[in-house]
Amino acid sequence: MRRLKVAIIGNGIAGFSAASALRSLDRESEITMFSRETTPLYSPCALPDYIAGEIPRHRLFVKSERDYEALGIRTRFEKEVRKIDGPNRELIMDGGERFPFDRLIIATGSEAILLGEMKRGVFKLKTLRDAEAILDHQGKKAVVVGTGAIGIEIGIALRQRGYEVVLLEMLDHILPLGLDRKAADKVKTILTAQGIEVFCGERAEKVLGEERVDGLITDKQQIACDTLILAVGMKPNVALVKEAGVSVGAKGGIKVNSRMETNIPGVYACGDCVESRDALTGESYLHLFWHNAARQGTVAGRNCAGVPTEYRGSQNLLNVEVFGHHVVGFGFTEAALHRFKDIDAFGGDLSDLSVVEEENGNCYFRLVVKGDRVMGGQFIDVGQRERDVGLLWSFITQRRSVGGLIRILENEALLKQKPWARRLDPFFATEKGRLSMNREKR
Amino acid sequence: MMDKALVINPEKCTGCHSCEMVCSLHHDGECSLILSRIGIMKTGGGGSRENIPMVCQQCRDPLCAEACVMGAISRNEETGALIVNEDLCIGCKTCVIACPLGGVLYHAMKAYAMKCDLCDGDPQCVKSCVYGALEYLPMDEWGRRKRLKGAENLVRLFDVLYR
Repeated sequence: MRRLKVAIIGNGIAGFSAASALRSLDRESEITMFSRETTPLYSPCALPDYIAGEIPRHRLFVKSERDYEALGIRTRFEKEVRKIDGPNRELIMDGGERFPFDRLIIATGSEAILLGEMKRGVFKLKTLRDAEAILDHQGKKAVVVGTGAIGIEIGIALRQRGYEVVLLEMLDHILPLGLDRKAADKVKTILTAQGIEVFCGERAEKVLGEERVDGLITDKQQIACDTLILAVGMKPNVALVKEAGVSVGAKGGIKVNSRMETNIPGVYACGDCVESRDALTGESYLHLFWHNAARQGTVAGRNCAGVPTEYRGSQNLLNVEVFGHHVVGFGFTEAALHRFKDIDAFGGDLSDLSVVEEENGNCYFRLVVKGDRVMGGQFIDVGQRERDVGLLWSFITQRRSVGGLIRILENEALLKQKPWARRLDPFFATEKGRLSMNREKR
Repeated sequence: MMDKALVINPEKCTGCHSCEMVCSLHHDGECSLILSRIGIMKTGGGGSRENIPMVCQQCRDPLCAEACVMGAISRNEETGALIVNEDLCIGCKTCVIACPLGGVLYHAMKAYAMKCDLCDGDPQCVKSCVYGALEYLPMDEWGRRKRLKGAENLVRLFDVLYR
């Protein structure tokens, strides 16, 4: 059999997981990885820690060049793929070089959404290069537009570097995708106590300054600053694949089936560039998170090697450390449930929605439950109970009902019984039942 | 590799916490419930008290390793245990949240994730457990016991049905 030629575009966690999953099943095939990055796999999630000076540069790297060699992956870094020639099964490089492939895995990832042109002093944070640019810049006052996890983390990192920091959010509270109003206000209090100014419900309109940034005009005020960080959001990198005829969904990501296959046979896609099935609702949505990308890469790699594997669905997770306070959010917020109530999984009916809430000082615990299914949770500083958060999070993926668990835990008799006896209940599990059986026989 | 497994027999556990003490003593040099990789979960109350020792199950398809943004969790090929590389871990606690069993903990003093490493093939908690609730068994022996238990249940079932 001819050796399979597999090309992977992208050197993120999705691309690397795909390569290692493929290699673990297929020792023969030829794997070539193209990337516009110059370095081996690093973790973009740790970039704020790097900016804050908490970890040195070398610790950002998750893999070294030796790891690629050990897996037998040929790397073509600093090579930008210009075009994918679908019908001829070829990649066309920068400079006209052609690379034929049998299978292709697209893991081009995502890029930051920008507002207008980039002036000096305006930054985004997605790659190592962006982080280094921020570190090289000497500024005093920074405005961060957007308060998702990245916005909050970069704001904290800059504050730790001695900047004056202003956070700007368009919606009515910070961390809008992860937290409900009440939890978000608690985080806001922590941020304000550390000297970070937070403005919610304000929209950035114009960046001031000729060559370098002088300030920012919002719909309510004008803020002077010498550093502007755009953390508005991420969008999938799909320009390359659109030309090749790979279909792109309504949310802007590559459309894939549950085996991470695109509409072109033999072409897979994984990571931030795809829109995937939500584990909770089954709707197609953008889930740009590390753990989803890692799983999708593994699924794509296994299917590429010919071992059918299904993707179990994506989950969202907010996990940030705000000045020593651990903030976690997953699944739907109450507000989001109201916004999405018309989709099939909910059927427009939210009458059985309930919220379990506990509060003690800074410690906050909130669980959003619909019917008997966990829909989402928000936790601040739950301490040792953060281990329990994992159980609740797994309820989302497995679509398990809490009712069953509560019934078992509440019913003492059920707990006492041997598992084999429970299945036979109610006929002959008990002593009484056994007696009656015996009597019948006689 | 991976020829042995840490087996838990909850029905034998009395909830004495000695495994937790020994675990934290072995890894951190002090007896402390919050530094122990193994934890006893107590459910119910009164007569229906159940003690269930909870510890990392060294999953074949680990969620913690998948969630780790630094790739810090990897498998030790000799013991089969999933190990946190302390040099790589940045203490973001994503693995703590990802594990449905509460198998990964956060070391508050050293600021990194910690989990059961099977003590490099010589689990101290097993030695400390005098009730036999924790055992470190070869895989085939564990499998044999499971089958035996299943057979016993079947025998009991027949006993009930046809005696």
